[in-house]
Amino acid sequence: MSAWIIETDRLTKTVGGKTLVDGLNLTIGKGEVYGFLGPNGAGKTTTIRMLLGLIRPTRGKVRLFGQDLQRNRTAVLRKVGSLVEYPSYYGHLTGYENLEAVRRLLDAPKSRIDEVLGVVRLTKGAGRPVKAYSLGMKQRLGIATVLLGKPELLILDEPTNGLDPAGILEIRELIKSMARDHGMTILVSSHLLSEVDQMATRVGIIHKGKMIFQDSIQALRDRSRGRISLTVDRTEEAWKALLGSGIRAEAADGRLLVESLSDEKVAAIVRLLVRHDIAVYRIQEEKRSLEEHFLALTDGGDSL
Amino acid sequence: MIARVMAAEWLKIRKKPIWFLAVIGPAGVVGLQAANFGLRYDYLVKQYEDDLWGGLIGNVHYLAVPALLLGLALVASMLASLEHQTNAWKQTLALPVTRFAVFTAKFAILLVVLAVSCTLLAVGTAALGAGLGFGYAFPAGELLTASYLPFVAAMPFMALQIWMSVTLSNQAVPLTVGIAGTILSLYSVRMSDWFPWKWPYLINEWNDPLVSAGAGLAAGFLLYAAGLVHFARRDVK
Ligand SMILES: Nc1ncnc2c1ncn2[C@@H]1O[C@H](COP(=O)(O)OP(=O)(O)OP(=O)(O)O)[C@@H](O)[C@H]1O
Ligand SMILES: [Mg+2]
Repeated sequence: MSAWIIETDRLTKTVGGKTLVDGLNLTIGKGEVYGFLGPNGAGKTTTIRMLLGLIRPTRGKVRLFGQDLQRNRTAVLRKVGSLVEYPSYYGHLTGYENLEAVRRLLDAPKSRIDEVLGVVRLTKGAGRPVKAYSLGMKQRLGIATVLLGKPELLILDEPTNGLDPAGILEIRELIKSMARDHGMTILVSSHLLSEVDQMATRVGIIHKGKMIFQDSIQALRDRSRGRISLTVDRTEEAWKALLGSGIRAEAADGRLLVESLSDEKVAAIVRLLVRHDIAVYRIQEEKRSLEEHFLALTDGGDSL
Repeated sequence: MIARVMAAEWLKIRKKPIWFLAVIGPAGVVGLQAANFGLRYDYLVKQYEDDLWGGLIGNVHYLAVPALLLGLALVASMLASLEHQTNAWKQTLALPVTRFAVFTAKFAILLVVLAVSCTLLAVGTAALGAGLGFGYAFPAGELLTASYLPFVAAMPFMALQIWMSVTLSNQAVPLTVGIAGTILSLYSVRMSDWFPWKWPYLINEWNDPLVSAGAGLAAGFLLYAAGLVHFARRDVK
């Protein structure tokens, strides 16, 4: 028995000779908010469809709550709430009736409808036909539908897609509170790191169907920390001097690059160089935002 | 579980013109025959003087078959469109229900709607006969056979239309097939007994309506099973 809520084993989907998802090992632990990132067309939605049993993997397995998805589909899906791509709804029905239709399938108590309408603040518009809803309202109805069955795991595919900044913020707060107050495990996909940055505890980055990074958000931050660039008169000697004191630097066109260090360490490096009679012309910090780092990862994805 | 899925389906079709179709179909057939018998009363009553009720029931049945075939295609398409229109399959099929239950519920709803139509047709035919002055002693067995057995014999078309409508997002395809089949049925009486479009007319060399209905039931079940297997395995957009 593994403790993972979601665990995939070399999950692969090939359609018409094209590999859309390639040997994905995705793991999500209980209570985690997992940011599933990747540029457009990376394979996020395809992966999510496999996690929900909507499409069959070409190879590999999906385990949810430690159980094989294919063998225990309905039992496992009872504990899952999902939103895939844009929200699904029955336009001719009101918001309330849409929830009632799903409630009947889930056999949830009727009182649950008013509860979830309250959670997404849609109580007022619930009596109107959904075809007249704004995108934001449809998205909130989608989230309400997801919550109807009191799921333990939420799988949300780009839940903030097409929303205005206020709507994005609202959905984000909602997701955070679901994790914090209800202990739900949540997978949120997005093509923007900044969107999950503030709520994710772990991130997986998928690029061209392959997982190129999967670790805590802190590990990703560490990797994307800035570097210190030193411009000196004799690069070669300076590089050797630093190496002599155990500091690995990278020499590039008259500059030395070292991983970002504490202020004391930087001061120590300068002292060391001065002691070796090396002229230090410039010291600069080269900052890379998390987003830039993410972009760099996904552009040169295969080199990682 | 099928009951739960059907409960959701009933809600979803509430504001769709499915019940309207279910009523307008038999009403149209009875209305046309009312006009037929009204306008040619003396001629037809003379023609069927040995068996007035039999003549009426036969005429209604003959007109009801194409109406049934067209109606079932339209209703099957409407049932599937509920999901196709906003691509709600991914929502429904990611819920804790089996694909077996989802497919079977659609099929069952179609059966119930058409069974209601057949009942209305039987009631309407009896009322028309009484209105035409044929008396109240209508041949119940004959009326029920002509009203319900075509429905049983049309099972393969119901299964086929549900299968196509549910799996193809472009409803033009199943609707075209349904309309083509309806037209074909008009010429099918002269075809071989193996021709499924002939079955709802209940005409066969054994002169036994149950043969046609039995063939329909068996073929209907096979097509339902094939559709179900395909639906259960396919990838959902
Ligand atoms: N049924 C299919 N047949 C062929 N190619 C497909 C199919 N479904 C998706 N694709 C392709 O697979 C790739 C991955 O698609 P997917 O929808 O999983 O990406 P995504 O990461 O969700 O992207 P986005 O951010 O745009 O939603 C895309 O290039 C898409 O064109
Ligand atoms: Mg996507």
